[in-house]
Amino acid sequence: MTFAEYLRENWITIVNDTILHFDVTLGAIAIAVVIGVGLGMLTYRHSTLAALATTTTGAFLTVPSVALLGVLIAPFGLGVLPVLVALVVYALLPITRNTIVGLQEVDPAVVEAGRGMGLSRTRVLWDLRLPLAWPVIFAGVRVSTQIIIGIAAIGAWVQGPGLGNQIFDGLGRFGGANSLNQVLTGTLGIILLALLFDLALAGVARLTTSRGIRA
Amino acid sequence: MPEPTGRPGETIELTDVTKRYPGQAEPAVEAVSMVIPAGEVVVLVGPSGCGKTTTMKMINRLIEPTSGTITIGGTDVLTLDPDQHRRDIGYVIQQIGLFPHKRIEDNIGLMPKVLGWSRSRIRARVAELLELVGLPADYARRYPRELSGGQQQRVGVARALAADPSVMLMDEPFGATDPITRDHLQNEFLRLQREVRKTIVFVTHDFDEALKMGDRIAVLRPRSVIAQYDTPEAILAAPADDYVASFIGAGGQLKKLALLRLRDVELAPAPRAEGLPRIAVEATARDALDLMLGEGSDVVLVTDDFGDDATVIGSLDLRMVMGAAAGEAGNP
Repeated sequence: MTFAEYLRENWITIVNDTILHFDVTLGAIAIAVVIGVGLGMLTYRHSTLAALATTTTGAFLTVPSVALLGVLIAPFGLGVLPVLVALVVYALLPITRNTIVGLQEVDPAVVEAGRGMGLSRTRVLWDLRLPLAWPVIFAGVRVSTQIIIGIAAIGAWVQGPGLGNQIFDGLGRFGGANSLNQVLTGTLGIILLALLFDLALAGVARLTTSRGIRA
Repeated sequence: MPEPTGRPGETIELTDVTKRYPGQAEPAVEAVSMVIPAGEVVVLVGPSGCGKTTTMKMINRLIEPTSGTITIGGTDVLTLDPDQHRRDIGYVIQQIGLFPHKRIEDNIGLMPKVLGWSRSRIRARVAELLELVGLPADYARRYPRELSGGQQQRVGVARALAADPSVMLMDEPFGATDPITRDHLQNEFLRLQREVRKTIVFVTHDFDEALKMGDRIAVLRPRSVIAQYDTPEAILAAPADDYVASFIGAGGQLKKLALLRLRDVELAPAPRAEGLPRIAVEATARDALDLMLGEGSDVVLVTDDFGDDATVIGSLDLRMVMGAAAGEAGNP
């Protein structure tokens, strides 16, 4: 069976895997944004806390994904949950670090003008710092997405959802019928999904960034 | 004097105000006492690092004094909530600090919005302020980066006036602009101040700017110690010591003439002679002297307005200018 024939015959499964892959990535990014941006907002003013947040989330990223997923089986079992948790953990560093850097690097004159006119610290954070740091934060979100969209494939190892199933199936019986087609489908599907995802995020970044600070 | 529009200025009084930073032997500001009269522009002038900005920032409590009291309109500002307190004080800084992600109307309207004004009232206020600072109404929809530096600082001044404060603090507001724009902004600001009559504390290291802007000037030594606090004319006529004199620098007599408007000089009757150079009564004695030197004439005609069809109302000669420099503003 050629690659094209394989795609034609199995497109329902492939589309299904792609949608599930997308869903788990999007879900993980959404949770990671809440945690990462929150962590950044809580720590950016204190250099020790900020460093602690960056090193901790950075350390997560050094844990091999197979090891992390294995460890997560104990508390979360098999399936989507351990994959989701692992992806959130891997997505934290770029979002947290960019939030901290973005909030810290807002023009001091803007902050001084805001404080000087009588805006409270909370208002300066929400009305000035966050919108001005947003392009930097969002760049972190895009990097995180690219990282975890690939890692999500390994989720199939703990019976997670997504295109990883194609790859693992194919690799599991390599040499058998359509095994190469499966690996190719999974790999190319992830690359394509990553490109489309990033394109969509670029659009969201543009829409959510004030015209006054757009590049 | 026209009636002030909006809330007039309040008197600011500093008593023994000191700022010490931990770990520093010398205080940054030491025991400053001064009264800043309501509706006047008081310029704090001194070299970099003399504590003039620190002194100013203690008034709106961006820096908290270590000791001493500051009152505005009789109220001790240290008893107020700092954010509430700052809302009554306009604040303009050299770096301007416009909010780049907000349109001009939202920059100016932010404080009114925080104070809960209605949208229509905010819109009217923004339009009023843009006109006051001499910007076209359609600039309201622009973003800061679409404006030049001078235009941005006009917005900075409009934003500071938005909630109609009684006091304005201005930290080298025109320091970052080119000389021509600066001169423009200074003149516009003086015109605007005649309308709003706020109490203004103006910080600069440029003594010529201090002479131009100040109703009074406080020349500061290090630690913000006041070397002399008086009107520009009085400081030029009688500098308290060598330190103040060094600030005045060369050309003190010319600077004195630059403060003297021809409308305040008692003019001689106009001679019948034709072809004499003409100067408007709004100009200064220094402008008149410059004209005399340029035209090689020791007499100039003074007219009631600019332009060729203005009416001649008197004349001025070199001896009268010299008399003015010597402190007799009138016919010798």
